[in-house]
Formats: sequence, structure tokens, C-alpha cells
Amino acid sequence: MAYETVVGLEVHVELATKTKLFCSCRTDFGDEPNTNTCPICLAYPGTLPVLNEAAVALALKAALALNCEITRETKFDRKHYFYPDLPKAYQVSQFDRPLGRNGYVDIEVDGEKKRIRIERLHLEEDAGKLIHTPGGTLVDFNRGGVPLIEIVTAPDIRSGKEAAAFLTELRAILAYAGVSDVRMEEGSLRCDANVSVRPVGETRFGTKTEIKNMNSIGSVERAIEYEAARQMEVLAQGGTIVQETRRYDEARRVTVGMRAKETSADYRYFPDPDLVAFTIPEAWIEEIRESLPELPDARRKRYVEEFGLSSYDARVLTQEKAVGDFFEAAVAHGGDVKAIANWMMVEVLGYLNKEQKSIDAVPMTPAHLSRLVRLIEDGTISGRIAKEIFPEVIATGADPEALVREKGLVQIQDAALLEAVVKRVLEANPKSVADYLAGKEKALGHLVGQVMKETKGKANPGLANALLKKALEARRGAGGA
Amino acid sequence: MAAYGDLLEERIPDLRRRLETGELAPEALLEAALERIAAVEDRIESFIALDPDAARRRAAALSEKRRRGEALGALYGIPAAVKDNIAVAGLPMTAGSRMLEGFLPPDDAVVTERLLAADAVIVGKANLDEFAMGGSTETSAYRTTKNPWHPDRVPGGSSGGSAAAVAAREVWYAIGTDSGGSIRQPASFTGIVGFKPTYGRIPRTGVVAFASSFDTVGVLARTVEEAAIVYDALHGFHPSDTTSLPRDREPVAPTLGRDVRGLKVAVPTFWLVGLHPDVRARTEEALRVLEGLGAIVEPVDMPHLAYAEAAYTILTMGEAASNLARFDGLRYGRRFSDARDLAALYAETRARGFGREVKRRVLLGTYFLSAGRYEDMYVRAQKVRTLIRRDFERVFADYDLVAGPTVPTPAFPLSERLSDPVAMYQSDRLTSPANLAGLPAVSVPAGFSAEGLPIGLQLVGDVAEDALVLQAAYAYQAATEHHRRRPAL
Amino acid sequence: MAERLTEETVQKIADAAAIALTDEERQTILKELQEILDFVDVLRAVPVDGVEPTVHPVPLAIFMREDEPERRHDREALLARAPEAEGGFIRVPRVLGD
Repeated sequence: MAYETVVGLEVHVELATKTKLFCSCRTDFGDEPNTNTCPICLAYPGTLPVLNEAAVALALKAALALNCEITRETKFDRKHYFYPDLPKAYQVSQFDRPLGRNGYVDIEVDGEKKRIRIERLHLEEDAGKLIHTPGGTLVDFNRGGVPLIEIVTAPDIRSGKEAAAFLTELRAILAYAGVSDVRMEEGSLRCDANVSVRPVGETRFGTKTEIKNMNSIGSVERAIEYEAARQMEVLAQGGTIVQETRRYDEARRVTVGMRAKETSADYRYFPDPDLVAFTIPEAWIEEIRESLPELPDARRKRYVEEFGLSSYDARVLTQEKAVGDFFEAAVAHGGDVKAIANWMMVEVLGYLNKEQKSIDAVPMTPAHLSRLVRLIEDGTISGRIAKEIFPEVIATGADPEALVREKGLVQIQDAALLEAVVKRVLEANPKSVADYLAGKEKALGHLVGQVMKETKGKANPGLANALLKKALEARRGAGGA
Repeated sequence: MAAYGDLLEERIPDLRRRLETGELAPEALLEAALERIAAVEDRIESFIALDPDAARRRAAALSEKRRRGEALGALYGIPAAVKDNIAVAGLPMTAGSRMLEGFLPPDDAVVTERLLAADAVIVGKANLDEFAMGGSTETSAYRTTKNPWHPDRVPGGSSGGSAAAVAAREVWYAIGTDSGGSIRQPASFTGIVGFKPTYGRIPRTGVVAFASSFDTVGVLARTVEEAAIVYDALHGFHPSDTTSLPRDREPVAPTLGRDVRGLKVAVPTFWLVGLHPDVRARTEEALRVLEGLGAIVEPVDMPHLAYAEAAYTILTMGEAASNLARFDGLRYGRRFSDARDLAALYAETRARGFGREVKRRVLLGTYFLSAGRYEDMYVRAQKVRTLIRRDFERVFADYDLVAGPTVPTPAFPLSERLSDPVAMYQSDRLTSPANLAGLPAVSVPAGFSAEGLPIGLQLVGDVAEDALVLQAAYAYQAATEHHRRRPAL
Repeated sequence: MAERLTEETVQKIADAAAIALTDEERQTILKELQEILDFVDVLRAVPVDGVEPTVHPVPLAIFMREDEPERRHDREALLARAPEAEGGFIRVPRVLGD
């Protein structure tokens, strides 16, 4: 029997506020344990929550960027459970009036477009962090109370690949909107997946499992693929799927059952009497809507229409807002758009990938990239020289033009200078000359290479080619054959 | 003692004048209070914690302030007690519970900050029912406070320590909290004034939560005028409590003395049934006094008052179960378990840290919020709360005040109701409606039972009509002598 | 009529509330809770269809804080109040299961 995979994601995103949701402690990641805590986020008796306006604004911004309807009359609810990372033994969250509802994200997988619906987006506080040691568990509440949005998708995702595409696009949108720094490795974006399978054509859902502990988009993709395959195998063998929470083990690339999900888990939600229910003014929503920057989808369309880039190239360049910004700034400084695009995708992104750096962290400016491309265009340097000096340009922020001059890398454009080299090369490579004259055109390439080598790459390759041909033809004419 | 004896009977406005001129020093007034405390405290047991040395340092600093010629606050040099569910930095805060034994709050409550800003002197932390849950102060894990009028009677609760301290002349006023009558009921039982402002008037920051949408900070004092002076120093919005309300348009104390002629007073018929005969008699006399002052007193029917106690029980227990979930022995307070298993550590700590009444309410609150019962019980009670508010709205469309007795009976004997929770809860049935509807309400002395136990008259105003409630109570008190009697101690 | 509590229900509630009960306590508490449940059962007589639930008894305006960091408390002073702390962490018995 053929099965299809059905996936819904629950994504938690930490908002980029300076302070926590209900107190004025900093939200900085990586500080000494418990230095960003206070009586409020440690749930001392007598403390009360005071809502952070910026957190509400960012959550609204996220909801608008994800095409959600805004629940104007909203409130906070308490979700109860005892756990050492939850100081009040309840999490302040939103139950029946989430800030955003009925949104969507459009994705593209293997050239096919698809819409993933977002059921809800709500604002809540994060829990602290537990560190397990043999002697006991240590609790750090620095993260406790940091504002989070929880985004819940409809079960519209049909593969690990689609989940990865969704998360990639979601991450790009939220980063563009400035809502979060969306770093999965630092936990500012976390994702759980509800996975089930069903026979193709079936409309009811199968029993789902909840997959946790995936810390990169790649691991989400792999975990879903693994889990779906596992479930299909269980069903194929006549077994049944147990509703449970499973943990993804990245090292072994498998999911492992944690404990049967207590179907009776009762969070005893009720409206938080320490926080006032409120109405979000229409004007505030409009103000936030207007403050939204161009989002990745719109930018991609513009790159295709305005710059004539392929939709693949447009996607690569817009994945990260800062990369797109850099590209556009370089284009504004002049140079062939497609050449700049190629340099961005191959050299710049390759370097960032290798060095594990973000584009903001490199000293090279967009003006430098533009200049480098223009130096090739006007024949001052060859593409080869450009590639040679690029690592220094990007790593040190050296001006390419100055670097070329300083290192004497300007192309030899002077035919008189090159003719001497050509002469030497022809004399030193009699076999290639003979081959060429015998009709093996390929031999010319070797000879050009030798000229480039002799000139340490500075020869204008077109000029070298022309001079060589001219000299070889002269020999042919002289009746050397 | 003889010299101090007179001071104990002087009222705050007179003392304040004498302190300002320098005729009386804050140190001397404090010594009068400390001497009185030393004389009666072992019989009354109003306090969980006393810090005479800190109070003396404070009084000396206030003297110095006057010498420097600085402006002096409204409560300059007047000794006060603060209920032990309210944070005073430097003093432990137990909320009457073993769970918080030895807990030192890192900050002052907002109400404490405001007391200190008004130059008050805090002598100690007053006893209370554990986490303010109770009506007799007997659920305190630390001591049993006695009614200054009768050694075998409860002082009421939960602010029983605050009420007893004022009634026994240990301090001139005390701060309490009132979630269902916890200021007014003990005030009624001990023959003093207890004022619960409109919900939110005095910020709750630094006050250990019992039921957040009910908890109201208020004042216990010997007279309405004194209660108004203290209230004026304490009320108004604070950004750390976003459920707090703005200040009144003008200070209330200077408006006391306003004529109550023509004031329309509604008396719910339901509040006159099932009363102790002496309570009924004193209430009717009190209403006649109001009529004598020119008020128009009429009976009204408020159909949902009969359900107040049940709605109050469900809602406050639900909120309490949630508010008290944080007491787990991990981050502060006491851990009553050596279990190496976390679930056992929680369960043992909470079993031993909480007393019986608190456990009862937390368990029931958990039940009311649980799946399958929440809609049917909790949400239903929230809707009944709306209906009770509407009953008041309807009455306040035609009347200025609602009046009746504060408690159906005078102070009951110690331990009588400790094992009868339903009887204990019913002693709140006349006071909890004001909390359900968030209304300002005062209990003012209205005479005594045949046994010589105090009885209180309750006046309730519309939302934010705190001033009117105090003005009417003041007029009543000016026309009566009940507040002048003092317990024989 | 109010729900008839059983010892099993009481134990479930106690587990959810994280309060240990001895067998004896469970029985006394069962009786007390039942009395209170019977007492609050009067609310069933009140017609409440279409009535909005009240969360706060008085109208309150929303107030939000500005996103400005503030630090008023020293970590060591706060951790000193914890029954067990170590190296800047609060320590609890080992959590198992994940």
C-alpha cells in the first residue's frame, strides 16, 4: 500500500527584545547563569508581571509578516505544570485568543509552489534551562521569561523536504521582519514536528507522534523522513502507531520513544488575573504593518523582474536579508548585475560558508565587490587574478583597485611586451607548435596557458590568444611545414 | 506607663500636629507603643515578628529629618503594623506559613514604600491566617491571636493580627488585605474601622497573592478619619501592578464632614436574614442613625447575593491553587524533603509546608480548574460574578450606598469553626460581594452584643466611590460613641 | 447534584496539585472537599446562559512597559534564598526522563 506523510510543525521563536516578557531582565544569550534574573522571573511571592510592549509589537509584526488575522481582543492565560524550569509552575501563554490566526507561508519544493497554512501564532514566556549532572540538575533562569512566539501550522506538510523548505522560508521571513535572530543552534528558533502517515487517498489522519530535539533544519528534514518511514514500516508489518513523544538522535539519525504521551495532561488553563485583557488598537496594527520591510518573496520577484536573475539565483540571494542587502548595495555601486550575482553566490557565500561567518562580520564592503567586478569588465585584471586577490579583499577589506596596483597585477595589455613572451613560449614548446600546425587546435590552449604562466597571470588572455595565433600562422605561411 | 497611657488614646491628626511642632518626639511615641506591646502582646499575640530596634532607628532618623527642617510626611512618626503577607525589606515575610519560614523579601511592597515615604514607623509584622486563607487567624502556622475584647474569642481574619494590634492599642493603624472580608470582618469583631478600597486602588506589588482578582490592600484604624488619612498616603497607580487604579481625584480626608443629607442608602433584604439577634438589632439602630442624619434608607432586592459565597469559594480557590503553585521548595523558602526524586520533593514539601486549610483550598482550586469541571464550575462562577456585579450596578443607578451588617455574628469562640470549613466560609457571606464586584467597603463600629462583643456596620459604595463610603462612615461615626469604648486589657 | 468524590479522584487532584496525602488525610479531605462541593452546588440553580464571565471586577486600562533593561538585584543575594545553589545555578534533584 502507498502511504503519504502528514506533518504539522510547532515552532517556537524567541523575540528580539532587549528585556523579558514580564520583567526588565536582559535577554542576552550566553551570559553567566542566573545573572539575568530578578524576583519576578524567579517567581518570588508578591511579584507581578508587567507586559513588555516591544514583545507585543514584535509578535504582531510576525503575525502580519505571516499573513495572519490579528485577534484584536486578546488576553493571557496560565498553563500549569510542575517542572523545575518553570518558576511559577505555570507558563503565561495564550489559550483561546492567540494574537494571530489563519496565516500562511508559501514555499517552493522541486519547482512546485505550495501554501502551508498557519493555524495560530501566540505570545508566551520561555522556560529556564536545565543542565543535568550526575549529582543533580542545575537550573539557569536566564532564559526563563524571554518572550517567545509559538507558531502552529496546519497539517499541510507532506515530507521532510517540505518541512525544511517551510522552516527556511519562515526563518527568512522572521529575520527580514526583524522579529528574531532565528538561530536554531542558540535555541532562538526551536521546532517540534507532529508526524503521521496514512494510505494515499485517505482523508482522516493517522495516529501521530511528536518529534522533539531537532536542532537544525537539516535534522528536522531527516527526522521527519526517518519517522515517516518508521511508521510506514510498522503499518506494513501489521502494527499500530502509538501516540507518543519521540526524541531525534542526530548521531544515530533515528527517533527514539520517550514516554507515552499522557493523554490526560491537563494544563488547567485559565485567564491570568494578574494581567489585563486588552484590545489592540487598529492604528497600532497599521503602524506595524507599514513598518514591515520588503519580505523575501517580494524581493525574489523583484530580482527576477528587475535584474533578470533566474528564480533559483533570486532565492539564493534573498535567503538572508543581509546577503540581499549586500548584493543590492554592490549593484548600486555599478557593475554587471549578473556578474555581481555570480560573485555573491560562488565566492562570497562560499567564503561565508567555509568560514562560518555572517556577511555583516566581513570587512569587505559592497563597493569593493562592485569595483572588483568592474576591474574585470574594463580589462584591468583577469577573472583569474580577481579570484586570486578575492580572499584578501574579503578577509581584510582591502580596496581591490589599490591591491591590484600595489601588487602590480594590472593586465599586460601592451602587445609589444607580450610579443617577446609569445616568442619565448613558442621556442620552448616546439611540440605544441608542431601539433597546432598539424591541425590540433587544442594545442593553442596549452600555449595560452604557458603565456599566462610566464606573466604570472597578468597577460590579457584575449590578447595573448591573438598574438599566439598570429605568430603561429606566420610560421605556417613561412612554409615551416 | 501612666504618661504613655494618654498617648495611646490620642488620634493620628492630634499626634501628627504635636510631632510636627516638636512637642512630641517620634521616639517617645514609639516607646509608648513598644511599652504597650510589651504589656499586652503575650495575651493578644498580634505579631509574628517585631523589630523594636529597627523601629527605634527609624524613629531617630525621623527626628533627625525634622531637625534638618525637611517636609514631614502625613504619617510622620506614627507607629504601624503591617500584615505579614506584605513585604517589608529587612523583616521576614512568612504569610503565616511554614513554607516561607525565614524568607526575607528582597524589596519593599509598593504599599510599604508609600508608608515609608509618608514617614511612618513600622513596628512589626502582624499575624494572619496562612496565606490570608481563613476568617479567624487560627490557620496561621505561628500563633493564635486573641480578640482583645474577649480572650476566648477569635479576632476574625484573615487580618486578625492587624485588627487586634489596633484594637489593643499596640499601634495606631495597620495595613491589611481583604479578598472576601479579611479587613472588614476582623474590624467588626474587634470594634475598629476596616476599610477595603476599590479593587486596585492600592497596588498589590509585594503582597503575597491569594486570589489576584480579589486581593485588595486596605487599612485598619480606630476611626474613619484615621483610616482616610492612611488611605490617602497609599492609593494610586503604580507601574509594577498593571491591575492598579489611578489616584482619587482629591485626597479623601479633607472631604470628611460632608453632609449625608439626602444620601440614598439601599439595604439588601438578604443581608438582614439569618443574623445573630444582636447583630440584627445593632444594624437596625445604625440604619436609624443614618436616617436621623438625613439619609434615605430603603430595602432592596439583590437576587444574586445568595450565590456570592459559592461563587467566591470557587473563584478564589481556583486562583489560589494557581498562585500557590510556585511554592515548591526550589528557589526560596523551605524544602521539607530529602527526596532525590523531584515529584516526591514537590509533593512532600507542599504537604508539610502548607497547613490544612491551604491544602484544602489548593486541592479544591485544582479541581475547579481541571478539565471537565472548569466550564461547568469555574466559568459558571465567573458568570455569577457578573450577575452579582449587575445587581450592584442596578442598585447604584438609584442609590449612593449599600448598607448592612459586616458579619452575621459577633466574634465566635476560638477553634469553633476550624474544622467546619463551610461554616467558616459563611462568615464571609456579607463581605465577599464587595470583593466579587471590586467595590469600596468599610466596616465601622456599631455597638456591642449582649456579651460585650463588638458589632460592625458595613457600607459599600460604587466602583471608585471610595470617598463617598468614607464620608458616610465618618458622618455615622461622628453621630455615635461606639468607637470610644476600649477593651479592658 | 455535585460530583461524588472518590479517593481515586482526590488522589488525582492531589497529584495535579503536587501535594502528598497520607491514607488517613485522603479520607478526611475527601469528606471536607465533598461538603464544600455540595455547598457550592447551589450555583447550578443560576441561569447563566449568555452572561459574560468576569475576570476583573472593575474596568482596568492596559499598561505596557518599555523595553528598557534594568538590573536591581545581585545574583548571589537571590541565590542565597534558594535551599540549594551551586556555581551560580539553583540545584534540584536530578530530573529523569529526558
